[in-house]
Amino acid sequence: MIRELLGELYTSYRLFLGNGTVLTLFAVSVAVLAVSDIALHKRPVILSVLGTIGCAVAAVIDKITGSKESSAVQRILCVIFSSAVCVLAIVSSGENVLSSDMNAVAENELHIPSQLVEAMDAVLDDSDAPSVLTMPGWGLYFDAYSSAFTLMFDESEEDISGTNEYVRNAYNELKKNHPDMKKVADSSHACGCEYVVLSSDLWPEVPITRYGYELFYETGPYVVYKEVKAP
Amino acid sequence: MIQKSIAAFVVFYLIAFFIGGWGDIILVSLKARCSLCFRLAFGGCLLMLLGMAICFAGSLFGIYASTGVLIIAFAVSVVGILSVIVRRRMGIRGSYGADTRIGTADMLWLSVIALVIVFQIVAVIRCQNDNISALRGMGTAALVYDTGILSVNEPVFLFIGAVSSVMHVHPLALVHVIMPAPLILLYYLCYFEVIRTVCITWRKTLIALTAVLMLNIWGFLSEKMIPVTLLLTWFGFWVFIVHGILNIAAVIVINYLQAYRAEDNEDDHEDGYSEEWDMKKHKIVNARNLAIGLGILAVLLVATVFVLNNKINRLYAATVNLQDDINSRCSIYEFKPDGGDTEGYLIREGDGTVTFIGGGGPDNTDSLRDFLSKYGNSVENWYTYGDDDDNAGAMHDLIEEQSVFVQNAYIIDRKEITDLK
Repeated sequence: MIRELLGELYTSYRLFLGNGTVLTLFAVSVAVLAVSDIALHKRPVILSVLGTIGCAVAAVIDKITGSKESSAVQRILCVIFSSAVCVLAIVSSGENVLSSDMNAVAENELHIPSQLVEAMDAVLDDSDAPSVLTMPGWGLYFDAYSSAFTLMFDESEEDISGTNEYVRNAYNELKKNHPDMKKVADSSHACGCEYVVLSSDLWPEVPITRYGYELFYETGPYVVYKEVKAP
Repeated sequence: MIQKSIAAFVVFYLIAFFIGGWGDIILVSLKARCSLCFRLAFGGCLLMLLGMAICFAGSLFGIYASTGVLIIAFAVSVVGILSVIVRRRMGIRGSYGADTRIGTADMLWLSVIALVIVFQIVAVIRCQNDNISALRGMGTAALVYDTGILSVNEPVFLFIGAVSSVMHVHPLALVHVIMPAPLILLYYLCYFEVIRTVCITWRKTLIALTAVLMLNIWGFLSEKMIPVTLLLTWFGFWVFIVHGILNIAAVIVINYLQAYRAEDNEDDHEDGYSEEWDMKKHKIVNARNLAIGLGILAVLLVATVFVLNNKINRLYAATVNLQDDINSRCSIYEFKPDGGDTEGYLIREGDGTVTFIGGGGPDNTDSLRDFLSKYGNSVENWYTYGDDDDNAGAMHDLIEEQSVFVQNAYIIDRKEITDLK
């Protein structure tokens, strides 16, 4: 029982904090501030997580710098070493938000790929209140771009589990490289989605054009299909 | 857009300065020193709070976004004028002197920190992050922008939508181009104030602020923590709470406790009481330690409940779709009458179509009937190895009884297969 609880706590920790060590840094910082000469009335600084860590780092380095017992060279070396340890601890506390792995130069001021904006504009020009099925994750762009879109789903996988069978089927199929377009089309028809916006990276065995959709607009990696309505 | 960004920045901090007078009032009443940074930080946070509160209240009545912004402007004016009146009555002077303790090296360091902050702001404006989930909630702002009406939803996005509606700027453009500069700087002012209140000396303040800068740069922990990551969701509600409100609250609480401690030290004549208080402070089992222990226990209990609830929910989620998952896959089942040799195979496809191969003679009829009853008693396609009794007897009996519905029956011609070989 205890092992399971600890396992669950660890899983939750990893889910929320990833591989980062901010919580550990915060706990260590609180301990450092507690044993240092910080006044009692200043302890509410723990309301600020990053502030606490910053103050602890400052307390450590200041303590080493202020030590008059060792020589100047020793003090400098200690400062360099402690600063290096602090920098390493901070750098390992999380991932670089501004790294090139996570960022690309914004194509426009909306921070949405320009070709996706073109595809969305094409759909909006065609219909005042389009209902759209799109790739998992793209829904948030549609939602943020215009309230006119009615989306089949835009949520994360956890939210999808609570929805109906058609939404789950479409979501699960579109996450594959070779989705079953019949299932996608069936789900789309069942939910009344007039437009389906897919990625050209998909390699379905049978294209969705066989199941009641026709190619409407294509730009770059974004392909828009429109439901064929009987005259 | 650059002109709008600059204008928005200037207007934001002018309003923050105007209503931030309440920050000075609070600090003076706590016998603390006023500072321009705290005034701007407090004023900025107060402006955000007012904006969100008024927009949310307006959404309950379905008012127009432009009306909401007018009400915000009116509220800001009233709050600002009141602060001016109260400051005058309290005799608070409006001048903020430069700190003479700061040295040249510290000034240079501060300039480097300022440059890094500017770099962060420029980076978030110019770069597009892959974490799309940072945009969660922007749909509310888009709705307000498109319709011009406030509807009940998250306050911060109502506020963004209202401002974007009035400025005629798309909410995404507002959030990615106009808002980074004032908001990111605001949060760093909040950090600066709380650190300076704790660290006192400039050297320690700058070291701590540098650490905070780096922590924000290496601030991506997980998808779940995106709502509190400053450089990903500077426009979000939780960033406002964690990086803004909590820092301001820490400054106020620290100054309050400092004022309280100063009053406490003045009461030296109560020797008996203070001696008893000293004794109480040194006792291990005292009210404070007991409260801390109970608090830890409460946290552990809540964590246990949370973890158990999480586990139960995950188990439920795993099992609720289990049957659907099983049914959705193509499965093959062997037909072995009475546990003997295999006399046939049943293939059930993902869409429920059943195909049966074999079956054997009339001896297998009962076993086959029981076997097929588990899979719906309906066979789309039945393949036998011949039309004689030994190969198709069971199938004939079941069809005649009408206990199984067979749509198509095929006879595999062994001679043809042998010839093909």
